[in-house]
Amino acid sequence: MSPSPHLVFRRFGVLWAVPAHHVTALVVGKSPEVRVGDQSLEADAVLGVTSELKVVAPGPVFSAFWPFACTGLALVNREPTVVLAPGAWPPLLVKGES
Amino acid sequence: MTAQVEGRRFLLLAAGDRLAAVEARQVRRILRALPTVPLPGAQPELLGLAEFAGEPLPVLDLTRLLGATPGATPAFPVTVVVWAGPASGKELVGLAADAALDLVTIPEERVTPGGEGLVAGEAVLPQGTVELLDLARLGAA
Repeated sequence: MSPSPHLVFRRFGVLWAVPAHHVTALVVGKSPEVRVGDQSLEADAVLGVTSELKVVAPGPVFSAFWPFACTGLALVNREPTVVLAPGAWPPLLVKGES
Repeated sequence: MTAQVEGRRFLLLAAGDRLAAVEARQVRRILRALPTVPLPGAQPELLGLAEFAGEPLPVLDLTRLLGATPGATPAFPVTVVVWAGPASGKELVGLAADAALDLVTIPEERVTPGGEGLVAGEAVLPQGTVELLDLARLGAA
C-alpha cells in the first residue's frame, strides 16, 4: 500500500495517478491540466485525490506490451489505474508532446 | 480398472482459427470475458486493463499473440487468468480467448516440440491440431 496521496485524472478513457507532492498546479476548466514541474499533463477530467493506493509493480509481461515507464498499476473505485513514475511521464500525456 | 494416462493436463482454448493449450497448473481462473480499459500506446496484443479479485489485471488478446485469423464474434468469450512470464518474475495476466473448450491430458509422446514465439510445440488431438503455449516466454527478454 502506498500511503502517499495521489492525484487521479482521466485521459483517453484511462485513469492515471500522479503522486500529489509532484503536482505543482492544477488548471481547471474545459481542458484541465495537471502541472508537474515545468511540464503539463493533459486531462479530460480530474477526479480528485486518493489518500492511499495499493500499487502493483509492473511485471515483465505488462512492460513488454506497454512501452512507457510507470510505478505500477492500481485500482481506484475498482477501476484500473496507471500510477505514473515522476519524471518519466508518458509523452502521450504531456502537453505539446502527444 | 481404468487405465491411467500419463501426461500433462492442459486447458484447450479457441483463438480465432487456432486451438491453443495452456498447462492447467498455470491457470488460476476462467471467467466470462472481463471488460477491459484499452491503454493508449500499448502494443496491439495488450487488449487493456481489467479488474480481477481486487487487483488490476493486464489482459492480452490470445488471437493476436498467436497471429491467428480472428473468427466470427465468439458466443462465449472468456478471460483465462494465468501465471505468465519468466521464472524470475511471474505475474497474473488475463488471456482473452474465444472459448474455453476442454480440459485434456496430453501424453508427452503426442507432443511435437518446436514453434515460434509463445508456441512451444503442437499435438494432434481429436479436436484438431493444438498449439501448446509456453507462458514463461511472455515478457522474456
